[in-house]
Amino acid sequence: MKKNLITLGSILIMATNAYALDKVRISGYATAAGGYISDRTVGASTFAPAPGHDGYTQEDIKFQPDSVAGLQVSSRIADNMTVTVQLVAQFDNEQGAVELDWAYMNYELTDDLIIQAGRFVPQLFLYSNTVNVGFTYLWITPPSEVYDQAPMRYTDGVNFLLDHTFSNDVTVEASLYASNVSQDINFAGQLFPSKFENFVGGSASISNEYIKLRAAYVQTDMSSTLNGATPAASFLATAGNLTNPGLDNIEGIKADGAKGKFSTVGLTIDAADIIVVGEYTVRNIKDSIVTEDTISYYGTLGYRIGDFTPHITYSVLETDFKDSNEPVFLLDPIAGTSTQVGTVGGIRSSISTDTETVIVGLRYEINSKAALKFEYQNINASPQEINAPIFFSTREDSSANLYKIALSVIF
Amino acid sequence: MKYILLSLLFLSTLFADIVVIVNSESKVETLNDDYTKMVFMKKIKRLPSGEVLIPLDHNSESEIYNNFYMSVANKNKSRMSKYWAKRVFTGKGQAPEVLASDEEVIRRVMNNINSVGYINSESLVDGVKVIYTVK
Repeated sequence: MKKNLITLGSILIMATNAYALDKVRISGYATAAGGYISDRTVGASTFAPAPGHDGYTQEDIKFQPDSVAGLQVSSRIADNMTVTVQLVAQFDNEQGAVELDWAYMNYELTDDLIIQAGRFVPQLFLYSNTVNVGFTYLWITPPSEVYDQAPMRYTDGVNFLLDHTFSNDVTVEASLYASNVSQDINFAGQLFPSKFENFVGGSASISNEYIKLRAAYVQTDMSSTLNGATPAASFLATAGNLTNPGLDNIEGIKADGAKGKFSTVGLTIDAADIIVVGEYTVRNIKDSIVTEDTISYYGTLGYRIGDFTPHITYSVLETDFKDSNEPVFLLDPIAGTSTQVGTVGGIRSSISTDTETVIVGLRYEINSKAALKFEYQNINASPQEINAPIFFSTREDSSANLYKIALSVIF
Repeated sequence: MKYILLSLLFLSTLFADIVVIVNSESKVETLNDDYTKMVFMKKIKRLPSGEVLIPLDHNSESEIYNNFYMSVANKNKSRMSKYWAKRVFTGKGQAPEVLASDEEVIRRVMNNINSVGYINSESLVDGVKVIYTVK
């Protein structure tokens, strides 16, 4: 972080240098969004969430969940070298927070090949790279059934980017990256600081003026810790099958040794004012205490009528928790030891919830830099009974209607 | 008769050609449809002949901007903005430099052998070379 601040500082100094002034580009984006839920029905269990409307409530119109702003400073420091920093401001639990999502140096090896070193956003899905730039896509946010499957916002490492356009305007793009990142994962109401090591992936796409086909793959080693005696005890208690006298002394629990693999394919068509977008993602996570295998996909159809683009999306998430014998440890600060408390499969009080969402929306181009969007979402969630039938036996399906409005600009 | 002539004059300015120009000393003689699009969308940095062309742009809210990109890229100003936003915020490149008028584009092209710009054909002057005419 310190290093990144120094980079930002040096760019700002360069911006005040008259000689370098024409080489510095400042750009930005912002989305101001508001929404509220109505007709929410929740199953008997207090645990039945309806993913996709995190932060929105039935009582009030909320402006925080989807509002975001970013500022990017990019400077060409040599003929074939640029430095770019992007700061993103978002609300986390209704508290404003600024994070550094991108900070990298681009070194152009050839006209088509760039090495990117630093912090970047892993390009897993079609819109991963511009997920905060609402202006670049139809919806207010991309369908959460697919986009929530990769919890990491950014990663630190090195990224090779190939981008070549042939004489007939057919473009091939590819990326290959190796990196690692630490990030908190919210699971079952608890915050798990998690580490993703050996985060290695790649993507490839081919496109012309009308159509784009894309595939991507990434794999990572993952470990999750839950800090604090109270959250750990509360998490373990939800399993309903753990009575451990050692709970008095613990400062948390830890589960490492999980392996995650993501594969995804995507398609966009934009021809004769008809827009089609589709993505299909398979996530395999072995032995993780905080997450499970999923298959998710969506299809979007839009039609451009002048400055208006009405669109409809059908989006699905299917979960599948697999039993696991990977150990889970209690962290005991007094004894300075960690002792096995059980296995991932035995302890996990998994909240596996399948969801199905229909999004009906309208995008209106105010001008070439601003778009106004309206959205209605109907979300249906059905909890899956896994591994702890007694606990889950009272759970029922839940559903909700979500109404949103957003203004997205770039500058 | 006077009114017919006046309306013809009006129509001719309404449908004035947009031309793509380079420095008259440039080795580039002509561009085809695909290369015109690829140069202005910065998909290529140099032509197969090895010549480097650095595009210049007009304000995205101007009429000539929208007409030019509708013709060469089949994209209106909003879709072009989306295209550049995707490239800018992922580190793949910056949109062309924006100049305020045809005259500024001409001046830049006259002073830089690698610059390429588009202007209304009525603004044409000696010292620049037309390499593409928008149909």
